[in-house]
Amino acid sequence: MSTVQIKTSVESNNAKIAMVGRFDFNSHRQFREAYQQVLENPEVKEIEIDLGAVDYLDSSALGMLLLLREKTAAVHKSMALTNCRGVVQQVLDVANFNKLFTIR
Amino acid sequence: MPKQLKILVVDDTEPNLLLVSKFINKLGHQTVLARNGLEALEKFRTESPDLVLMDVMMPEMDGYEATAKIRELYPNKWVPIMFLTAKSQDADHVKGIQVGGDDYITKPINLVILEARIKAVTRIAGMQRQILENTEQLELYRDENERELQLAQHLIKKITHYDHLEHHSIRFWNKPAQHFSGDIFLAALTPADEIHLLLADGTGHGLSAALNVIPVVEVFYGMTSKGFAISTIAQELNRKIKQLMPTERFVAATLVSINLSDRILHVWNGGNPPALFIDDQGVIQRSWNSAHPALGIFSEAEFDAGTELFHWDEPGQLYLFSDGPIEARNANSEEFGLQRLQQILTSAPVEQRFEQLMAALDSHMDGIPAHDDLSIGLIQCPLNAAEDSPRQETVDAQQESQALSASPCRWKISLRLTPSELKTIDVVPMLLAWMDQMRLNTNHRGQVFLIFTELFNNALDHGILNLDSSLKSAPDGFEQYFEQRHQHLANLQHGVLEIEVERLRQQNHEIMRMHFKDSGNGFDYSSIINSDVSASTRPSGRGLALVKNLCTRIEFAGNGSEISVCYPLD
Repeated sequence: MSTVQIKTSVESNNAKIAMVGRFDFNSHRQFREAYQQVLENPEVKEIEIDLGAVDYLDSSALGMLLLLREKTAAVHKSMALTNCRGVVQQVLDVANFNKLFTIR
Repeated sequence: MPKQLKILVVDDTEPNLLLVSKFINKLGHQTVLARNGLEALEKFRTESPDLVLMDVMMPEMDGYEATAKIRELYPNKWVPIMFLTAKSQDADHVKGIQVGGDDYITKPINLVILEARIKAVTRIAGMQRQILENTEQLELYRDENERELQLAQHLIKKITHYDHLEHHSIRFWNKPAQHFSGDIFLAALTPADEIHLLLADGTGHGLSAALNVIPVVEVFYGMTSKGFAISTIAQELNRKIKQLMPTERFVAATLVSINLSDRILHVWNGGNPPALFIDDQGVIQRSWNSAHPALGIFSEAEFDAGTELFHWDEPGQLYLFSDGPIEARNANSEEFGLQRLQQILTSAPVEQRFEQLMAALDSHMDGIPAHDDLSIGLIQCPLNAAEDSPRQETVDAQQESQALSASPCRWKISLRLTPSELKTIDVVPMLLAWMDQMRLNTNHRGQVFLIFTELFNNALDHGILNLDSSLKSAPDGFEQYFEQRHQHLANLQHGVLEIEVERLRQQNHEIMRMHFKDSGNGFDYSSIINSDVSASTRPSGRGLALVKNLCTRIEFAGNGSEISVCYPLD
């Protein structure tokens, strides 16, 4: 059962996927549906994953982010993680994701 | 319902029996008749009807009792029972339902109502049957699944324990979130008796996470037994996981090598919570935060195999964790947290730390199933004296085959290494691998590894890289020394190291001659020649003194940049 809510908005070349709640394995399907749309949108140049309202993030979520990183690179788009704070920031630090992602 | 039903009609009045059965036959169903409760029981057993129409007042055994008996005798087989009753009081209907009936029709029987009720009851019976079938299938599936999980669990346990180093100074606690833990803890010895540890945590938990870590096990044990350094092992693990696993799967890992005689720890932490070295007084002497992404994320070119080094002056304990203990949640969804964990480890008496931490985690979670696998690994540095020399349980099939090949071999290997090779090749394991190919008896492996290591490091560090080993005796000296070594090697432009290894017979003895020559300035070797190993307390001098102890002959040539030793094979 999923405990995350995902809102996608596109503004000119920037697509924002805002996550709310617990980002874990159960979010898999919703997350995929959300990014699939923006990946296919030729207007979109950058995908921003807004983690500001995420209160927990597990290793499966990290895996999903890695997968998205690969997919965005394949279609020549860029990707950034934004509004990371608290627990989310900690998890990203431990995983050393700053070496892999643009984090703003 | 198109299906033909078999309906048991129970009544002691012949005209009723006839009327009802004829009507049911006309509806296309089959009938079985009984004239009292006892007969009804018997027919129920032999005929297995789909529905029972039961009169209440009958000789021998009445309808209530017969119904109660049927329900008692066949608790798992639900067949609807409908009372046909002249009694029309509410209390009678209630009693009928209480003894296990499902419906009732009052006499005189209205045949239209009877038909409708039969349809309703058979519809319910149909659903009931479907549920039973589904339940059976689910149970079958669950049993099958259970058997497969048990097999997998057995295999994974065997695989991860195959080469495991057993020692009471090394402990591991694991609490899986499901049948399987995606966490593993491995310990093994190198040929030079260094200890390698690995605590790995595959993405997710359960079987899929356990599958993630299987490739890790083989690489770790295999490369450790060949004497590769943990940085080389980390590199290979990363390559293998990246190659085998899909992008979203990776393995957080802490790799440690422990040199007990020099009291040095090397740690590589990618994605795990900090590893902690806590002395006996409860002071955290060193912690190693995750310095890299987990294994299986970076490509070979991006991967950083850099380890962090620590030299312990006072005895202590090294703790390794997966993220499970830190993120364990209690009933209020509150995390256990790194702070609480450190507080327990630093305040509990040293001999009770491990137990207190386990107990605190257990009471924090208080029976709530874990979200993720929990793992804690511990090693005492130095190892507890009672069992000071660890031994590994390994099966060595090689030894037998070697015993068979009795004829002695004669061979010689010459190597010339320039800076580009010195920077990229892990030379000692490579030499040792050749020795294996040359069927060097495994009894000699440890000693030969040690000699190679000492001679190689001596030639590289002091001959080619021009490092001063007196650095090591300063506070923080080991760290500085290794840092300098790393830098000098990275910047190395000139220098040659020549190695010759030869197997021969001299004065009726089988020997192996090892010759190392470097392009450096040499050194004053007279002091080394005359010292013995027990007298030498300096870490630097000890290496060559050890070699001297293992070999029948040790000779320096030129300015000291050339060394030749003979190791006895018989």
